[in-house]
Order: sequence, then C-alpha cells, then structure tokens
Amino acid sequence: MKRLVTAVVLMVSVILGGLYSVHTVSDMTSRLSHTLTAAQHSARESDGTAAASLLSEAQQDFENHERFLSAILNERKLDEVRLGFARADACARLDDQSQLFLELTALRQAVDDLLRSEDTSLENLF
Amino acid sequence: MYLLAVHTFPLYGEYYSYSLIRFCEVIFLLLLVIRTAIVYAAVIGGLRFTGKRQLGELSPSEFAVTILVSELACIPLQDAAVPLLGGMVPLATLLSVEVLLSYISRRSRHIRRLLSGNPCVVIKDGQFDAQMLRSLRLTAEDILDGLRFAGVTKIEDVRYAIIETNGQLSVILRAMRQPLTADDLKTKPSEVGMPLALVSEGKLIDYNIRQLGKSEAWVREQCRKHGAKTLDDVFLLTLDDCGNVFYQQKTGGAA
Repeated sequence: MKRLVTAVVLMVSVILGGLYSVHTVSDMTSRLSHTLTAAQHSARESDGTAAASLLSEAQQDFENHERFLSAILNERKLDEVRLGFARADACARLDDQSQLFLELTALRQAVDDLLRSEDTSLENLF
Repeated sequence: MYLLAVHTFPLYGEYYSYSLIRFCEVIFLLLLVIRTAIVYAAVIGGLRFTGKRQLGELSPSEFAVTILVSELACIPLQDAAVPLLGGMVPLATLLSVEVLLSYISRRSRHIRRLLSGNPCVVIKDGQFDAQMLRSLRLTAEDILDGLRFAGVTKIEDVRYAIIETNGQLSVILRAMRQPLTADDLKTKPSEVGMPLALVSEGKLIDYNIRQLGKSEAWVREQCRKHGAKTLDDVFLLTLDDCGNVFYQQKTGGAA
C-alpha cells in the first residue's frame, strides 16, 4: 500500500511539475518576447537607448530564470538564446540599429522556440 | 561550464588559458560521473520500488518497462545538453505507471488479462493443440524443446503443457509419471530448515543471529567447537531453524 501511495504521489508530482514548468516557461517567454518586440520597434525607429534598455531588461529577466530553464530545457536551445543576447548586446554597444534589429528578430525567434518546445500541443506530442 | 570557469578564473596568458580548458574538461567529466551515479541510483531505486516482480519472471508490461527504463537512463548520460530531469521524469512516470498498473491488475481480472494475457494449454492428455500453437505462432518443435528442458522425453507422459503469461512452459505429468513423494510411501521424513549465515568470511551477521534467537557468544562457542581460534578462521557458519549447523573453515573442509 505504501508503494502504491508513493507511486500516486510521484505521478501527481510529475504531472504538477510538468504543468508548472509549462506555465513558467510560457509566462517567461511571452514576457521576453513582448520586451524584445518593443526593443525591435525602438531599433527600427533608431532609438538606440530605448532598444538597449529593453534588451538589458529582457536579458536580466532571462538570467533570473536561467537556472530553472537549465533544469528543464535542452542546453542547446538555451545556448541559442544566450548567443542571441550576446550578439544583440554587441550591436547595441556599437549603436548599429539595423543590425540590432536583425539580431533582435533572431533572438525573439530563439525565445519563441523555447515556448514551442515546451508547449503541450499535438505537434509536440507527435 | 566553460563560461562559468572564465568568469571565476580570469585568464593570464596562453598557458593559463590552456590550463583553464583542461580544468573545464575535468569538470565536465566529473559532471558526467555525477550524472551517471545519479541515473544509476535512480534506476536501482526505481526497480527496487517496483518490487521483486520486476527482477524475476517478466510479464509483457514489466518487460516493456524494463526495456524502456534502460533506454531512458542512457539519454541524459549520452548527451550532456539534455537536462537530468529529461531522463528522470519519464523514468519516474514509467515506474509509477507500472506500480499503478500492477495494483489495478491485481484487483481486476480483465485488466490482468489485457496486460498479461492468459496461460494457454498447448498439450492436453498427450495431444498437441494445433490451433492453440498456431495462434501462439509456435511450432511443435518449440514445445518439444521446452519439454526436454523440463526433463520430459515422451509426449504421452504429459497431462498438460501450458505456456504461462511470462512465456515459460509448465509441464504437468500424468499421475503415473509423477515422481514418488514421501506421502506416497507413507513415511514421515524430518523437516528441513532454512539455513541462515551467522558468520560469513569472518564477519558476524547480527540480523540473522537475532532472527534465530541466538547470541554472539553462542556463535563464537560454535566456532570454537569446530576448531576455529578466531572468527577470522571461519569461512561460513550457518544454522537452520531445525538446529542443523554447517561450518566451513577458511582454509577449506566442511563439518
């Protein structure tokens, strides 16, 4: 009976843990995507200061959740996001708005991919 | 890991950079060792958790779990980019499902039949059931192999031969071919006890000593009686619940 209870507890924990991770990743990536979209708009309008500030805000947000994301997501996907931040950051420092816009687009795509990989959709199921 | 090391240890020249890379490689290998140890412990713990059923004869569902567990355990070990949870969560899910299914199938005959199937009689009164063999996709030669393995050479001696749910062949012989038992001879042989090791390779096994209601002093006395000067001289001392003692010295020889 103890074994059965343990199995039920384990199963419930796994399901709840899965739901929590989907919720957290979805929440964080939506927020990041939103911030990065705003940064893209700023870069398109050649407002380098605002774009850099939004990029920095997004990076801070990502770094705050990095440990949790490392525990549940493939490290290669996270590396793409890290690389995206590094490249966009370099463009922001060089004040190259057109390149920054491109890098932010790629970064947003990498962030959206994180959500897609965790999404409970039929595509992911099959 | 490399980035962590770069932040932790500032680089001073090429030599230091090379050393740093070596350091990172060592850390990476160490991580692999730790991950392997964790996965190994999880698999052992998981299989212990499913109980002894898993380790003996396997039913189809248990066999499926065993195969999947071995594959799943490899994923986080082969690819360091995959988080440990990526292997652990499916492992925990599978083993939990296995325990839940075994509980349900113990309660419900239908589920048990669905998961494990039914035992199938392939020989009845010395005659093969050809239709059953066809449905099991077995040949008469396969059954003959099983009969030989069971020590049966004549098919007509077999009352029933049954393919069990775990794939093993059980053979029930005709009454005339059953081995004689003490009951048939109306004799009363003395009971045989279950031997437990009290001393193994010079080490006292306290749990077994307590189980048999003996003391350490009694065990030492037995060893002395059999000619051992110290416990180190004893290879094995066993005692069963009927009081039969087996003693073997480290240098050999049994009493």
